[in-house]
Amino acid sequence: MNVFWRVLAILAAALVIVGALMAFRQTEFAETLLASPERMRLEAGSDHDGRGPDAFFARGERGGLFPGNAGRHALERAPDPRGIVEVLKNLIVIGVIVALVAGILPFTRRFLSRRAKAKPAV
Amino acid sequence: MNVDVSDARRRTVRNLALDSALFVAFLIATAPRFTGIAIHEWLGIAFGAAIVTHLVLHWSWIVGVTRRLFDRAPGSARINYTLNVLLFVLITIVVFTGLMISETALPWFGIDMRPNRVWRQIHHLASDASVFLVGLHIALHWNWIVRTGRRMLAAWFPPSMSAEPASVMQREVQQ
Repeated sequence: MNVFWRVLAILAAALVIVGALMAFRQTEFAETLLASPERMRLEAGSDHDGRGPDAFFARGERGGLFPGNAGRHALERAPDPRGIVEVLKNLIVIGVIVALVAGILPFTRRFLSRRAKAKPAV
Repeated sequence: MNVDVSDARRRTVRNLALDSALFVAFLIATAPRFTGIAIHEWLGIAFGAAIVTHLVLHWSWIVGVTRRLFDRAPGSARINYTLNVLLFVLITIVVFTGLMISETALPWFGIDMRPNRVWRQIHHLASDASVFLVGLHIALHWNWIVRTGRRMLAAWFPPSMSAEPASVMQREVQQ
């Protein structure tokens, strides 16, 4: 029974985050911040010439190139062993962060404990 | 006492196994080109469920630090707590936006999601940020990971008998 309430509490916390995200999504700020390049171009009044790096995906998302209007994700639809590069890239990023932080951490702890000792007791 | 030690050891093994599986799943889930979109989506949903399990397993730590957060909690616990809250927020955003742009998993249940560039952008931004936070999360627990990993290896390939005091095991289970 305990586990049930714990899971419920976690899901409730997640729901609060989702609610906040939905609210953020409705704001003008989110629309401007995350507006599509195509829409930004249209709003700026320039015509889309169908060239440039975005044009390839934009064409696909309009339904002409990939079935199901999936756009860039259509390229990821089938498994590709070359995608292992993404895994390795993330592994390297995490490894560098771990090496840096785990290397610095003992010095930080020593510094913090020295500072705490130096503080006079109130 | 022996029962306590073996119980603590079992819990430590279980935590390490789940955390390792979570890490591998996270790495694979962040590479949709490698798995293909279908596995990416199902793995993402399973990852969300595994995160809930991870939080339930560490519930006593969460409750303990939340109670002491504003008065007696040490600085490192506060940093750890803040980082974990941020990570939870990001993972929730990643899983939710992933569902909102789902092309395989939700349609399988008969729910069709229209492609939405804003959800997709938030999904990508949050998953990129979560890679950094996962790195920090692992870094802050690196000592526990190394200690526990060594102990597990020693238990599986025993060079000599190693007996750990129960208190150390109990402390590690709490982490």
